Amino acid sequence: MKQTLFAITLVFALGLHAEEKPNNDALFREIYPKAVAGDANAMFNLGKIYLEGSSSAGKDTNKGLNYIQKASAAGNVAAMKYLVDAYERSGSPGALELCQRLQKMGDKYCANKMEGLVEKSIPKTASQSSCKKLGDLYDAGNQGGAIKAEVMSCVLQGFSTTVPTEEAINYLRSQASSDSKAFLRLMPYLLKNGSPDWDPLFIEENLTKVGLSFKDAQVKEILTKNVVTFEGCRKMERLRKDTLRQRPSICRMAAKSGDEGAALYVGESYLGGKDYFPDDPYEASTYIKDVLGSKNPNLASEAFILLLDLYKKENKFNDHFKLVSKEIKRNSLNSKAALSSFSYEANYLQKNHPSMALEDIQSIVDIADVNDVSQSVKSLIGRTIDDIVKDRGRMMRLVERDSLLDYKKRLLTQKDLEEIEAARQAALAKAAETKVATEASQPKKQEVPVDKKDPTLIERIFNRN
Amino acid sequence: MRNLYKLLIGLIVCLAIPQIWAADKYCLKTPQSKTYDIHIFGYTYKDMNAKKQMARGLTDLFSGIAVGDRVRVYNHNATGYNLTLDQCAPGCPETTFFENLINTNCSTEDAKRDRKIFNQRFAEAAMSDLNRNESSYNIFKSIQDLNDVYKGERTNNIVAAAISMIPDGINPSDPNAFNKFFVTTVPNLNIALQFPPVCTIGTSPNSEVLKFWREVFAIKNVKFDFKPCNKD
Repeated sequence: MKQTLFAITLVFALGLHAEEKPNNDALFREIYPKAVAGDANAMFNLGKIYLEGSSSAGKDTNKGLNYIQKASAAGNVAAMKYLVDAYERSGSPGALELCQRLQKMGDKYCANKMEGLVEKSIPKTASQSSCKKLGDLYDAGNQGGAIKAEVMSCVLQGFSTTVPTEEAINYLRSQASSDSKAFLRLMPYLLKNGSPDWDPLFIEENLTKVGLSFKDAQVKEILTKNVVTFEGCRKMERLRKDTLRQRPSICRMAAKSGDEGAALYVGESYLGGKDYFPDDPYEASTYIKDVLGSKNPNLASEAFILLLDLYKKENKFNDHFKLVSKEIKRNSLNSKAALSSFSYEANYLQKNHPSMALEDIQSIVDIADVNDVSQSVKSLIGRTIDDIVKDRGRMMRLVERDSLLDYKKRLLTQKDLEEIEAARQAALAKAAETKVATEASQPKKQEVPVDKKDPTLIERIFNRN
Repeated sequence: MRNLYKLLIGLIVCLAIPQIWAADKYCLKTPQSKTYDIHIFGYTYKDMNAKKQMARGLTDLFSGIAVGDRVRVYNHNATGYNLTLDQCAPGCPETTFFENLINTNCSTEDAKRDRKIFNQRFAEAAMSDLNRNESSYNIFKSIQDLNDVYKGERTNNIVAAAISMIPDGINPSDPNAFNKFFVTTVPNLNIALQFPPVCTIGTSPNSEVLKFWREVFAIKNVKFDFKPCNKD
């Protein structure tokens, strides 16, 4: 057993030994003088030995790269290719430069890399020099998607004249319908120089279709640069007819990109339709809801009130009640506004209780009972309880009825009770009067014999058969 | 080692013409007279055969020194060098019978005695550091030290270097050892050399040693042809 183990260990050790890096001392010695003398091939091979650490000199990345860079500078194609790969892996812009050199030498090593390298090397902000480089690449025959798009973008920004402006616009527009990058390239130009007929609208309508969001950092940056902000929206004349479509569009884009002031304005404008915004409660609620969670308490409160108004206007009891009860229960900054808006729930209850779920009724009553609701609202709800009990009759469980009647007692004041009693008495008196008058005008009915009782329900069913 | 010392002294004494010692009185300022700068890097010899080889080489060189030639012996060590001998070889210049009668400055007897002392001094100077086994040395530093004696200046002196040229700890017949030494030292080597013509004494005849130095000197653009002294 021990022998077997020893054998395995030995084989393993030998295997490890066999995998050790080759010793290139002799090769190193042979090529070092040549490398020092400027032989590009020797420099490349020496650089590799240093990088691989395959000699007694050990691994020295700096020296290795230095030799390979020298070899590359001396025109060694293998070194250039080696560096292209290394730079590409590390994301260094040197890769593109080398590829351009290789390309000039007629080498096709970078044919499939060029596009990606250009894409990586493009600076965030275009400049005269970056556009010149791109133009050179384009003119050298690198006209793949990314390079072409960048060149077109340079043309639109006025940094290049590689192609006519019209061609650049048409190209980018054709790409922008499906390519978010092309869309972003086109955006600044359209916002800056586009015709007033359609450009902001084009952006508003299509931006999300290409997978972008108004809240993307890049999008926001372009919008801000081109004054597509609430400030920009404010500066445009509200009622100018030649911008009647653009202005709302700019305000909306500002709102969508996260400007809460703009969102509130847009929501408010949709709510009732003003400043050339159509009356559209759905759109209004969308924008207002965006501000509900604002960190600015004033804006959040304004949004809350606007939304309650919208629900009232739209007669959306459920939404209104949900919003109000949530804020009251949370005892948030909006709870006061919610309580003052609670009359809507009371009135709705009075008019619509037959069609309401008993749970909702109980919730309304409960809120009125516990919270600081005005007495008039409490009285209204308390008075409605009688109607509810009467209307639902035996459909309500005794417990439910008693619970509601308990609420009633708490909600109504003594004065309310007296008024109710007075009203009840008046109603009874009126009913009695009506009964007497009716009896006097009708002939007397024949008396029914005593032994002839009405058949029971079972007897009736039995007799039918 | 003692035998080696005796051998050298013996050889020199046999060759010598006994004359009476006098400091510089034997210096000849004729165009034929020469100045020998003999640099001894005794610590670079670790092998007995190499030491014998070096002693033989020195003896050969010494035998070529003519009366009136100036001899300077530089003993190098790890920290620098000492000029251990700076004298002209004693002896009376060859003259005709009548010249000899007129010129009474040189006494043949004195010259013989001086020559004997000179020979002894030379042997002592040459062999003084040979037995000192320094633990380690840097062969490149030795070369640089030799260079630094002249600091790039031209000289008409005969410059002889008794140096093994074997890097410390390297087996001169092992090419792999030289490969490794080359790889680990030469790329980082920072020496500036501008020798006058140098002949060598007791340098390892091993082809690997010569190959190594030819490569190094080629890289550093140094003219050093390893020509042995006394082999014109």
